[in-house]
Formats: sequence, structure tokens, C-alpha cells
Amino acid sequence: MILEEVILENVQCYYGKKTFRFTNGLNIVLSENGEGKTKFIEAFEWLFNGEESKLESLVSAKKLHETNIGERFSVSVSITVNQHDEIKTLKRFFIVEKLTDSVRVSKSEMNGDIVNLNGERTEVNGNHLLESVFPSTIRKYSIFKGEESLNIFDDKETLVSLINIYSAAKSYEKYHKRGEFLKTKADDAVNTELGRDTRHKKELDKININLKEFRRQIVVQETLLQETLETENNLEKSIKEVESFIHNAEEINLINEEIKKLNIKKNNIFIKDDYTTFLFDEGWILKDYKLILDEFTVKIKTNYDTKIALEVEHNLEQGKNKAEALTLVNNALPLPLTTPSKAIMESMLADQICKVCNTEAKKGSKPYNFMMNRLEALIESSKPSTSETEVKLFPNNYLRKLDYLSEELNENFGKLSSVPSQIKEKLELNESLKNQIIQIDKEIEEKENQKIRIIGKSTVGEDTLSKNLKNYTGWQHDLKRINREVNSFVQKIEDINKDLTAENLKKDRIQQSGGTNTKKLTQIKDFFQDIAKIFTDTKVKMFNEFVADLEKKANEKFKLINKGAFTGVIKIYIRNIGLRPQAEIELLDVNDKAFMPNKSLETSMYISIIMAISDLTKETQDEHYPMLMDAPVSSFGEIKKRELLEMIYNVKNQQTIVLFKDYLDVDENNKLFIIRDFEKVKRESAQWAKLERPFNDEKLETLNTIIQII
Amino acid sequence: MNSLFDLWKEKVPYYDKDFKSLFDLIALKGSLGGNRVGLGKHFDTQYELYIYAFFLGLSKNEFIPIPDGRRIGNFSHHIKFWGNKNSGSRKDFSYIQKYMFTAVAAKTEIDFIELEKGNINEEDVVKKLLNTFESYTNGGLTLIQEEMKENPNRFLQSTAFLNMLISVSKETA
Repeated sequence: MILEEVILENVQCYYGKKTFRFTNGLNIVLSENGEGKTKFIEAFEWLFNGEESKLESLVSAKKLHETNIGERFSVSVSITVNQHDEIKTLKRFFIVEKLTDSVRVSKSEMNGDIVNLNGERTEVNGNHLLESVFPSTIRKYSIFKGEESLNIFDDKETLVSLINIYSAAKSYEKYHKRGEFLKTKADDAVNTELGRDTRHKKELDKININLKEFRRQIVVQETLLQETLETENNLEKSIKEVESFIHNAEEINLINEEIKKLNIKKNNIFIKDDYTTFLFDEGWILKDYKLILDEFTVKIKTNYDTKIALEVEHNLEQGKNKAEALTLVNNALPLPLTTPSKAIMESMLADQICKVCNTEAKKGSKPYNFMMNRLEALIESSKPSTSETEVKLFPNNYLRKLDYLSEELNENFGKLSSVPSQIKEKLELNESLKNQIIQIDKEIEEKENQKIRIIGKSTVGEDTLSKNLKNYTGWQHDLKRINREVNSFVQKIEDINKDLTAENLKKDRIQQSGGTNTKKLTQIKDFFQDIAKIFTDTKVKMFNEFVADLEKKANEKFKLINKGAFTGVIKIYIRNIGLRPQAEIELLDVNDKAFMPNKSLETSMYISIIMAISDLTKETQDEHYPMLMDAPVSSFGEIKKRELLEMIYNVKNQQTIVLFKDYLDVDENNKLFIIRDFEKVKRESAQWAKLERPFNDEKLETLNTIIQII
Repeated sequence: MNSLFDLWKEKVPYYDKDFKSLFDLIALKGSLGGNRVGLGKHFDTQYELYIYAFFLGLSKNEFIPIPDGRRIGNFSHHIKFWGNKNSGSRKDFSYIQKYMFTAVAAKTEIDFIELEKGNINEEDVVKKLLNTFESYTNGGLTLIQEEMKENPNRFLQSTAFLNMLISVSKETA
């Protein structure tokens, strides 16, 4: 859709009919402060929202001044757009009648008409036409008043609702719901079948009661969370409003920026203090285990030695020559026959070396024969008993396995020996991080107090201030409390969800242990459950893909605007607060750490995202909408400003109307002129909205904005 | 022939049902939503609390067999499954089974020579091992419950169970 024409008739400083003409691509409207720039945007907004309460304030003072008592005239804003080769015109207007000491204004009306390709004209309902030309869902992302308004994502749910409108995820919503419905029905069927079995009935009833209770609790907590989030949002708005009243708003903004920076710093501090989990996952629970392991090792070794001694004695008694041949020097206790193992013994014999003491054992030598005898004894011992008369003293071999276990744990204990120092280090680290957070909190509190002091000193807007200032301090405290409450609700919902999952697992186990019918129904239920999961996962996937795409496109544009400069990377986080997702935007540095951008970088970040949204709108809706920006780049330097305009200029199929006071200057006679640099700015069209000279800015009836094509 | 460890880990140990509320309050499974947070949810599973209580009882040398005739409970979860974690947020700690077993074996009076000779049935030995396991755990649970009665707020802190174990090791050092 291309906005081709905007006509303002007797709207504020636009006396008579004034026409702006636009084309596809970049359109620039230059205008000095107070000469009609913002009034143009306001008139545009009125066309959209039809606000009735401010009608009188829209009336041109000059027109009213020139009108005789009892006479009437029209005040209107109309736009003409080209949409799919049809020319559509929308006009909102009202009639003003001048009375002796006042004016009478009619209600406003909206007219619409469409001229098709053949030139036929049809009158249509204006409001319906507006919705089809410029859907209300996207208007919010099309008109921006000032640099601050570019952060449309201040409201954390805005971006999410936008994504929901445009991502393909919305198409999966109905399947997702259907899948959930089928799953529930199949589950009910399994329960009914299982309920016939008295063995499980009692337990199943209990689980179902618990599940119902958990679901009820989730709904309660969700409701409370939403209410709290709304309160939080309202409080934040009220605080901002008070801050905007005061004359030293700049100072407040600076402090707010510092607070924001401190909060980012604070959020980058992660304290992992789930110490009870560390007891298991990091083995901390075995901190003092060495003593026990020693006790176990000694116990097993003592018993094993006793066993071997008894075995040797027994074998001697049994008259086994082999055993005699294995007797050690000084009658020392021999090693178990399995140490070294059969394979090692064979290897040593093959190499004719005792690899334990690194001594040669030539074939036929005493050491060689000793090893050979041990190997034979080992082979012998592993054979089943052949003689009924042969008595085995120890038919069991539990001790050998316990000895292995002791060896294994002693070998691995090295890893656990650092546990005490790990605990100490972790506690010290967390203590230091906690202190950092306390310090940051103190700094934030000090900044908040500074704000209160600044607002207290403010002289502008005293009436409003006196009323609101009383509340201001209270609101700050309330906000902190509300933030805590939000976190608490989120945690509760998470906890209940865990309980719900655990209870469902119990139920699954019971269902799996049911009879044939139950098993069949369970299979059907599992099938539907899988289907429901596929729909849910697909919906989530589409949503995430859209976010990833948006992030990618925004970063491309961001790099273009800030060509050659360090920008960082735009990251869009989607977090689930309860069941509702919220979006947050951050700039990350090379180490993936969030940082606070300066004003112009921040603005270029928002513009990049807005342009990316516009791109995606084109892709998914096969439609594009104009964007109106009033003074969007007041913090930009000359070069960066030109680069931004060039980037906008280069975006194909995007109509953008930028209004600003830049490129205007006054000469020695106090006469406004357009500076030469403007010639370098690439654009499709440019107009200059300026007040007709002479005028008296204290006499509104002298104001008349004229439009000059550049 | 299975090892004693293999035989022991096939078992499902019991606890005194008087401690059921303790499991409900500080372990996740079977607890009722909101209550748990307020009292400090520390253990993801019931067997984690069981393991903790065992090591606590062991460190403090609190060997308290479950009195005869008491109502006992278990969580139908064989020791061999304890610590098997496959979730992204937790690490597997099934190795702890071996450490618990060796501790139990160290503290249980077993005539190994008679066992090796086959004069004692291995099932009886495993029963004794399990009894030791349950008795130290019972001792540990008793300590936790006493502490909870005395100072319930302590369990709201993340360091509660770590500190309890550390202070126990200092006392017994």
C-alpha cells in the first residue's frame, strides 16, 4: 500500500487545504520546531483513532478568526492510498460553527471511497475501509513520534503479539487445541477402563484429585501473576509520566540510563547456589568419605588376608604340592592367585621377565618356575571340582569382588579429594557475587533517591507534580515489591508444573500396569499425546523461527546503519512469564554479554528491528505499509544520519516518511534556509512545511503552514 | 555369583513413616505445590533426601534402627536406579551407590570368612547391610526433623543442608 496524498484542512496551523504528496521509497518532510511537523503526525493519528474529546483543539485558529459569527466551516484530514491498484480515500471531518463567545463542533465522521481500475467510484464505510487499508494491529508499528517512541518494545508483550500476528505459528493454534482435546478424551477413556480395576482405583482417584488440584492452583497463580504484571506495567507508566512532567527530564533520563546499566550489570551476575544439588552432582556429599573408605579397605584387606592364610594352610593340609611350591620367603602371605591376572602372568612368562619387580626370569630359572606354578594353580582353581573327596574351603568369592571395589574407589578418590577446597571456593565466590549485588542495589537506591530529589526541586507542572509527587516515592517502593511478587508467582507456577509432571508420571506407570483393554487404550492415548506434542512443538518451532528470522534481519540492517562501527549483536529473548511469553531485546558484545548502548546506537537498534518487522510483514502478508517517523534520529551525528537515510532509501518497496528539522538553518537575517548538505541526501521526494512569514507565535490566528516542494 | 553390591542394590530400602511429612515437605515428589517453597524445597527426589540422611547419620554416628512394629514406607525405587539422571539440568550421580554400599559394608558386622565358607547365607548378609543403611538414614532423618522443629527458618536458606553436613563433620572431627 502506498500513501499518495495527505490533505489537512483547517487543522491547527494548516489553514485552508494543504496537501502533502508522497511516493514509494523515502520521503522527507523538513520542518523547524513549531512549524507543523508534529501537528502533521497528530492529525494523522486523529484520522486513525477519531478521538472526540480533542476536536476543538484541532481547529485552525486562523480560520476561526477569519470566520464570521454564525458561519460554519469544515475541519478534515484525508488520505489517499494506492492499494492493489485501487485508489482508496479516507476522510475524517467535523463541522465547526462559530458562536459569539465560543464554537460548536459536530461529531466527527469518517467517509471512504474506492476508485477501481476502470475508474468506477464506490462509497464505502470509512471505518471498514480504514481497517482494510491500515489494520489497527500494525498501526502501532508504523507511526513513531520522536526517538523515544521507537522503543515500542518497552511493553514486553508488544513484540510477542506482533510475532503472533505475523508468524506462521498462528496457523497451528487450532491444530494444537484439537490435539489437546483428543489427548484429554483418550486419557479419560483409559481412566474409565482402569477405574473398573479395584486394585488401581483408589490410587488413580488420588492422583486425579491431585492433578485437578495442581491445575486449579496453576490457574489461580496465573491469574494472580497477570494481575500483578498489569499493576507492574501501570506503575512503570505512572513513574515515567511523572518523570516526563519535569523541566529537567534530561537529567532524569540520564539517571534512568545509569539505573538501566546497573540493572544489566546486576542481571549479568549469576549465582548458582543450589548447594543441596551440588552435594550430589559434584560429589560434595562425600566430603568426609575418605575415613569410611579407609575403614572399608582395611576391613576387606584384613578379611582377605585371613582368608588367603587359611586357604594356604588348608591346601597344605590337603597336601597340594603346587601350594607348597608357592610358599613365599619367610612364610609371608602370598598374593591372591588372581593377582596378577592370568593374562599378565602369561605375558610375563612369554617375555621371561617378572614385570612386577623388573627381574629376568629365564625359562627353567627359579623365578620362572615360581610364576609357572602360580599360573597353573590359578588355572586349577578356576576349574570345577572333579573329585568328590576334594574339599574346597571357600566355595564363595565375595571378598575378591569387594577387594576390587575397594581398589576401584581408592583409585577414583583422587577426584573427590578436592571437594573441600571446591566447597570453600564456591562459597567464597557466591559471597563475593552477593556482595556485588548488594553494592549495585545500593547504587540503584541512591539513583532512585536522586530522581526523587530532582523531581522535588522541579518547578514546571507544579500542579500535576504536587499531586503525583506524593505518590512517586511510594510507587518506587511498590514497584520493587511488585517485582518480587512477580518472581514469586513465576516460581510457584514452575513448582506446581513440576508436581504436575511427577503426578502424570505416576499415572502413566499405573496405566501401563493395567489389563489388555487398558493397554490398548493407553496406546491410543499415547498416539494422540504424540500428535498433540507434534502440533505444540511445531507451533513453538514456527514461533522461534520467526523470532530467529526477525533477529537476523534486524542485525543485517543494524550493521548497515552503523557501517564500520562496533555495534554488538541484537538478541531477542523470548521468556515465558507463567504461560505468557514476553520479549526482551538486548545488545550483546563479542563475549555475549549484554551492554548498554549509547542513545544513537540504541535508536538505530530499534529502527533496525522496526524495519525488519516491516520486511517480514511484506513476506507473510504480501502487503507493505508506510512508516512515519517524526524526528527519529535527534541523537545522531551528521554522517550517521545520512547513512541511516541511505539505508532507508535503499530498502526496496518500503515507503517511509521521515519528518525532521535537520538540514535547516537560519541566515544572518534570521531567515530559514536549507543547508547544502541536503543535496547529498538520496530520497524520492522532499517537502518543506514552514510557517508563512510574518507571524506572531503568541497569536495563533497568524499561523499558517505552507508546503513547499523541494 | 553376584557380588554383595549387586545383591544389595537390587533392594528397596524402607524408612519410618513418621518421617513421611519430612519427605513431603523438603523433597519434590508427592508434595503439594506451594507449601514446599516456603519450607525450602531442596531435594529433587525422595531418594536424594534418603541418601543425604544416610550420610548425615553416618557422619554423626547416629545409628538408630527403625523400631519394630513401626509403620514403614518406601518409594518403590530400587537403589540401582538412584542417581541415574538424564535431564539436562542435573548430572548423573549413580556412582554414589558404590560409595553408600562400601560405607554400609564398613559399618556392618559381617563374618566374611563364614560367608566365604558358605556357612552364612548371602541374603542374610544383604539384609544386615540394608538394616545398617536404613538405621543410619533413620538417624539422619531424626536429626533433620529435630533441627526443623528447633529452627524451621534455617531450611529456607540454600546452604541449610550443606551447612548441616559441614557442621556435623566439624563436631565429629
